[in-house]
Amino acid sequence: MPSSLKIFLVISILIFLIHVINNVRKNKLSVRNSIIWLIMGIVIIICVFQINNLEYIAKLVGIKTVSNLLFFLGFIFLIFVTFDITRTISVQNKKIITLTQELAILRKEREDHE
Amino acid sequence: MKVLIIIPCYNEQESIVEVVNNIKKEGLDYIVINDGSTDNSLKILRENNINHINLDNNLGIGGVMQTGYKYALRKGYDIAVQFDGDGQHDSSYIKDLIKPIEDKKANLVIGSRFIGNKSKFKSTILRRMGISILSGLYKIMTHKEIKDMTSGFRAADREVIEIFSKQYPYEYPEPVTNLSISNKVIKEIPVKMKKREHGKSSITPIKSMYYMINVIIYFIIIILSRGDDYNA
Repeated sequence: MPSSLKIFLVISILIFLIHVINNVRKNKLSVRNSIIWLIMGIVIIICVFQINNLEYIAKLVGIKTVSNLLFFLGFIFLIFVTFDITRTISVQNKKIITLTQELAILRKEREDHE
Repeated sequence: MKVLIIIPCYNEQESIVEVVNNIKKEGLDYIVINDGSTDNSLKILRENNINHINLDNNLGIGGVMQTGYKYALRKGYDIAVQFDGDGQHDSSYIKDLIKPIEDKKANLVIGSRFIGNKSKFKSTILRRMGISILSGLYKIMTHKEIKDMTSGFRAADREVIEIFSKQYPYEYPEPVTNLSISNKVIKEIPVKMKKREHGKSSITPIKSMYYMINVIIYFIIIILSRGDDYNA
């Protein structure tokens, strides 16, 4: 990999990491949810510098080129994140329903007392 | 025994007043639950001084019915009856529906279109096919028979009210809840149902397939999680 590409990638990832940390600082992203993105960024930086070892791993698992290995891993990562998001939505949906019900019943009970 | 009629209301401005008046004639307590209607339902409920609960978000039929069960539980009702706000159900059958519960012969009573010859209106062929598939699956899983799996005209005793307040599926609730309480005594009685006069049915043909798939998945989950607290 040419060093200009390496520098470009590392700078991009660093900007991304700063963006993630900034969002956590502003309370727009929870620490719990930031971890996966921070780890992903660090993993990519490691990959940039360990490209030779990646070639070795690719051969080991029977994937011809490193790029295919990276596409595959990226795909798996995104599937995992998407699943986690739908799971979270389901949990939150249930909480919203419970809150709406409780609010409506409480308001009704208050009106009945007046 | 204290009886509460739970009437879900989503965009039923044409029918809701008449439905409530019929219930009032029977001299029963009722609660209309407005599921964030986008028409004039809420205004009509207020103007006619109809006893109602107003949900700020549209929760769908399951969330609405559970609100009714929670309310029934808090207010100490012994029997809760689900009754549609669109005029499909006939209030004169409520007495028959709650009788088996008063006699302690059932925990849940379903008003059925498919037993007896009372109901001329039995829904479309396609939907009837779907219902008999659900009925067949139910029989395989529980060795018990419920003909009208999707009937929303049901009466529940205190025990079932408590269960439904805690756990009620938010989508396609009737067949699923019939299965989740299949260890209780469920009884079907014949009732007459009318074709809805106003508004649109919530189930379109396109949704029917989706409905079936959903219910079957629910069925499998319930069977797999017998004894656990499944997340409907």
